[in-house]
Amino acid sequence: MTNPAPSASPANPANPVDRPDPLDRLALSARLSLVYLVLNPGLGWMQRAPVQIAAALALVIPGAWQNRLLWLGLAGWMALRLVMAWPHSDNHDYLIAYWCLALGIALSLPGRSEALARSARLLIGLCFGFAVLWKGILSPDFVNGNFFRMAFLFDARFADLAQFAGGITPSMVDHNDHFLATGQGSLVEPAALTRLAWFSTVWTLASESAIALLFLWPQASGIISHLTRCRDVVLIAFLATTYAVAPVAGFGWLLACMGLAQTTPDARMTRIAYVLAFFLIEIYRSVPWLDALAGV
Amino acid sequence: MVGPKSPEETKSTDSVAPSSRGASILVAVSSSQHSAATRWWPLVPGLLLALVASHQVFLSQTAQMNPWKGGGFGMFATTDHGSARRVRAWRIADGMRQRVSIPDSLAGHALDVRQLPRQRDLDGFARDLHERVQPSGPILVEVIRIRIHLPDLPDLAEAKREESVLVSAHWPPASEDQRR
Repeated sequence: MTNPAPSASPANPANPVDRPDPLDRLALSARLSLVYLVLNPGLGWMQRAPVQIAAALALVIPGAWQNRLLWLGLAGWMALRLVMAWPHSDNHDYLIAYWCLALGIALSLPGRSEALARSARLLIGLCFGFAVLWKGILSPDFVNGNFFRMAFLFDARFADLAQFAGGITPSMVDHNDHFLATGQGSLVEPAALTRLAWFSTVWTLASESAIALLFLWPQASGIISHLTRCRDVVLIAFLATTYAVAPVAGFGWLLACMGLAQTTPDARMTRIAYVLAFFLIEIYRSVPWLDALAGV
Repeated sequence: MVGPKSPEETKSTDSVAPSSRGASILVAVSSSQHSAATRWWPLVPGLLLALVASHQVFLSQTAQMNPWKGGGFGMFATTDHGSARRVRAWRIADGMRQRVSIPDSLAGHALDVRQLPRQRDLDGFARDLHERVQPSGPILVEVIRIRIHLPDLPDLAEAKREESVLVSAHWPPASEDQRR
């Protein structure tokens, strides 16, 4: 593949026409992905240090994000990490490796933005497709509501939500933990917590199915094209709601980077919304807002 | 996919040549090849995702792999996660079981078989444990899943904690009679 031909006359940054668009989907998505890598480079110093340093350097060196070797190198490093840590890596560790590869490939092609948009749409659609396969078909304890009931009863990462919206108290949690450890005694589950579990089950299955369908559906004309335009609204709504309570900010950040990359060229406001969603997830992660609400 | 660009695209970074102009990893010369490359190369990451995830689904269905791991996007889908599994070892003497602690040197191996308890890996773990502990009798290793049977409200008194053996291994390998 040959590189695109350079412009006939050199760009003049003083001229508004030549100034790079700050909301360019490729540049914005790549830079946000570098921020993701600085914030969430993985576990263990051997994994963290090289990724964090490379990503930070690419952020501070002008234009470095456009170097496909940077992204292909990161993808290779992460693939190596996945092989070495098999089978212990989390799913977002796989997704960031695919995403770095997608950026490396797109930056090697003409029509780079559109190439990255195609990769992003497919990656989002497939990862939600497999998530729905697991939740809707392969795992009977998700569709019957038991997964979220168990999560709200026993998973400390959901403790604030279970307390705030499910009505569980610290003494109930101690009681249930004793049951889990020994099988002795009985469980305590407020009715509000069961309702919360059912709502979470239905919302998760419905929103993830919608995202999988909207992102995997081929670009088409007519009513279907209107439906596929809804994909950004649904994904941004998913990011803004799910990651308020789900303890996996890294996955949300990555989805925001990929969602931004696949926006249509004229969807500037949508790109701003994805950037806001990215930082909203950081606020959810850093500010103990549920803890504060649970204590009220 | 390489068509006329919109005004926004013309201003975008698509009009900027990649910084590295050296040997390209993807080489094509004609515009039709450009078009094919731009159409198919972006699908490669998604294809890899689908291959890895399908492999994970296969392993979880055939080798009891932890659905949360392995790149199949089964996280937050099932109560069968790492902390709901245990690896337990027993020394068998005179038909009686006696619990054996897993030494720290085998903790990583135990973690591996907890996530992906393939029979051959568990056999290897039982052999390694037998070599380290050197018991007088055979060793039995089990990967156990802890489940909570949750009835609907208001029958929570019926809730039960159950343990089931996902995979087990003997070392030295047991005869069929011993297994029974």
